[in-house]
Amino acid sequence: MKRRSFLKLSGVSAMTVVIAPSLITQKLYADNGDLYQSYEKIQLKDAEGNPFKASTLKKEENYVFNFPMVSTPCIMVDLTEATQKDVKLKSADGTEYIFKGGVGKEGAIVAFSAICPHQLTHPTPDDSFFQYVPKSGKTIAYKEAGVFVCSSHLSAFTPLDGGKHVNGPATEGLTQIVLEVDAEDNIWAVGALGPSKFHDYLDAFKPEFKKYYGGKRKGKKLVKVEAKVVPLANFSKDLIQY
Amino acid sequence: MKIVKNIGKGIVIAAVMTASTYASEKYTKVDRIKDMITLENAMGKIQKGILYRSDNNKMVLSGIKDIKNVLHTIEKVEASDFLDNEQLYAKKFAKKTGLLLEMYLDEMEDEVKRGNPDEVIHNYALVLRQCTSCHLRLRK
Repeated sequence: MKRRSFLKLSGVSAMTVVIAPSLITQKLYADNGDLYQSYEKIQLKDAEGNPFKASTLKKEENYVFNFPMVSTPCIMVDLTEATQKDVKLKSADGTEYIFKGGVGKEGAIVAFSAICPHQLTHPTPDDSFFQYVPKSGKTIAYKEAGVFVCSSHLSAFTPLDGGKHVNGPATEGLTQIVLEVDAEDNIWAVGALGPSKFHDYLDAFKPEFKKYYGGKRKGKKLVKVEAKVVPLANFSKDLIQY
Repeated sequence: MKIVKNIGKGIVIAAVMTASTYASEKYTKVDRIKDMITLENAMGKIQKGILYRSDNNKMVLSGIKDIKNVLHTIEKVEASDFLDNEQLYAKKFAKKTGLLLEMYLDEMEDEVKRGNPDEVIHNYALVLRQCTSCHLRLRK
């Protein structure tokens, strides 16, 4: 590449980053130990296409939306209490990252990738073996409810501590989906924090994408602009929870 | 003509009776062990087919067929016939594993036909993962 072309390209790239910081999508290892990947900022909308308001979330209900890819399901929950803040977590390879805490007025709204880090169990339109079990519920995966449970192999994760793995064969926590709530009570998904299983998932469930998303490649596409939020009971026909 | 009709009726009745007898037969522990051995051998067949590139992937396709046959048998039996009491709650998990296996086997078959050996290997690994997943959950 000629010197002039190189300088031109560098200038354009720098301008792009200044205008749209969310275009930086590589993994960031910050000084404070964060392991974070940003994606295009997505607004969460209800089934009718209206902005989904944080204050309309029902306590402890499982809400599903797909992010950052068209086929990667996430579960958002408004917990009964504020989460812990600045929780230090570790991925299976020893990388440390810090869960900053829930969002919303009470700091109780959290979202996690609904792909179990153990063997990638996840909700589909047919069934879901993965969900948050409300405090009043029961699970054989952990000594108490109020945790995310993968009912395939009975791993449990606590949302109050940033999706930390607390029981079962999984070896690391859930990927947190970083949310923002703006002054108008709108909810935005902006990135993913922690160990990501998206690549393994996309690799393992390609055949499934044909059935649910109309093609292998379509399932891999990044979500743009907005994502629809639906209660898990409306997303999956059969909820299986042990 | 009447004789032919009667023979036809007889065949239909016999087929229905055989099917209902089969359905009411209990799937025993011995049946399960036999089926598990068939599955293990079929996985071995696929692996050999991949390693030695047998003519036109006949071994791979034969292994796929063997696994699918077992899956079709298991689909028809009651979960209580092959799961221990304390594992009965996991019947939906067992069913889901069967569906995933079928999905990967179909994919593997397609990739054989398309002549994509790397994708065949990839799907073989995914099938093996489902085997271990089920063993991890259901085997003592």
